[in-house]
Amino acid sequence: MSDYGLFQEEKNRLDAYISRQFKIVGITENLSGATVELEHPGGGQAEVRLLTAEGRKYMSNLVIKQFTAAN
Amino acid sequence: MADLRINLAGISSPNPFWLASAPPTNTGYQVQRAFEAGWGGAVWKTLGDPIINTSSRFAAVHFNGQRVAGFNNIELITDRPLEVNLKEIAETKKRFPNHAVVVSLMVEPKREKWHEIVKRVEAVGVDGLELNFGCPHGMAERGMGSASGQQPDLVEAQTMWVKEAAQTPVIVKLTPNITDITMTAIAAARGGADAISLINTINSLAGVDLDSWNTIPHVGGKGAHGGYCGPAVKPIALNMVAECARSPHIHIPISGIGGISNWKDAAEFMLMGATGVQICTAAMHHGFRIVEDMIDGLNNYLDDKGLASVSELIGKSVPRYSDWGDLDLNYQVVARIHEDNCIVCNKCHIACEDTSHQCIERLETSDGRSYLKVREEDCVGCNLCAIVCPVEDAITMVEIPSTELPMSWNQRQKAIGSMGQNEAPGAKEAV
Repeated sequence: MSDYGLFQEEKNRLDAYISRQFKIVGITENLSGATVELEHPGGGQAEVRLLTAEGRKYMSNLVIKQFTAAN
Repeated sequence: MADLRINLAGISSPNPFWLASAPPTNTGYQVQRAFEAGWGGAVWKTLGDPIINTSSRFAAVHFNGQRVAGFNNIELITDRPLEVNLKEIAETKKRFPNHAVVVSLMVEPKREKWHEIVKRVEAVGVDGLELNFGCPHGMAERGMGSASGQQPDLVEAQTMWVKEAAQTPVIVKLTPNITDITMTAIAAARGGADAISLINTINSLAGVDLDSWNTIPHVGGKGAHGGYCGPAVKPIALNMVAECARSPHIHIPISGIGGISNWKDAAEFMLMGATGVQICTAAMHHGFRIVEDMIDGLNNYLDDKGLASVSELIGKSVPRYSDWGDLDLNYQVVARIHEDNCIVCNKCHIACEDTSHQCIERLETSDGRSYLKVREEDCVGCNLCAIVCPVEDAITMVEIPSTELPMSWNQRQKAIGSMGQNEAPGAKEAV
């Protein structure tokens, strides 16, 4: 029943990409949740599916940080 | 002792507690008796072409042992000739020159009708007028009351007609039987209203008798919808007052009405933007002398807060009332159960398990004693457990400091939008 474990998995996946300098470049939100597209400045691409509300909130915080850092 | 005097759009009174236009303000005898008890003002029961009332008229909703949690009436405006009311108003004002005597008015939506009644009522020396655009039953079927008050253009036009003739401040009383009360409040302001008062009663049917199948109340076996008021409507009224108070388009004072039963309710309405309050059901339930407790309680509260005047309360909570999209999504509270106070009744566990997020576990110690524990990482801070808990301080909601900066939905959407969000086909339709 607990979403917390699933959120931790989603957070860990996002953190792993961010720690490797990936940037969030696209977000698709739909009835199933969110798909986060990431790109590495060196050319790599990745995609993370987020199902939990906490995961989408965490992703939103990352986007705002990225937005703030870029402006 | 704090200064309890208020001034609502030029109408001053010794305290913020006014009787609302209703059965308690039907006669000079009643209003003078109320002033003797300590009420600061009264809005005289609505004057207009005298009507004929029904028998019976009132009904109440009692809930879990609380008498009159809600109150329903199908009584109409005054059934006495205008001359009789005016004579008593003049006598009352003469005896109580420092109290606020405001008179509620309702006539057909015709300019000459409004001019006539305004002039005749003001001639006896009233402090202000309140236009009844809110009564939901009976009069509405004749094109008056809420039938007028639900149409912003009629609210504006009639207010304007009144202002053409009026020398005293004009308060427009609004109906809650509308989707967005700020629309009619803005119309009143546009028409020149000096203040608004809200809310009038809410369309209601108190109940159905399960033996006779008659409505409650009924008039010889037939019923009609009435107006609902009393403690049950307070949250609805408070929100409507707050919405008007925070509207950037409304800059006139507010007289708060709706389920105000004690000094705390009054203080809440004033914090949410009301300059003063009007009360009816509580007086009908407990008599005029409840105002003594209201005055004492408000005085003590202001002293405790170090405030010299009740006016310092007005609108202080309005900036804290916003739209959902501006709330901080990173703010978090979780429930904590205090074992010393918990009686292990299980209500929190059942509520959380059945209707919330399944994060309160019933556990056992090694010696077989049951206890309840919140799995904080799964708690969404909904408050339900603390709400249903029958023991004071057995469950508290504790703020968890966030490691993130505040982030609202609107900020989130702006940030995501700025990066060119890709929305899946159909996603917009699903919102």
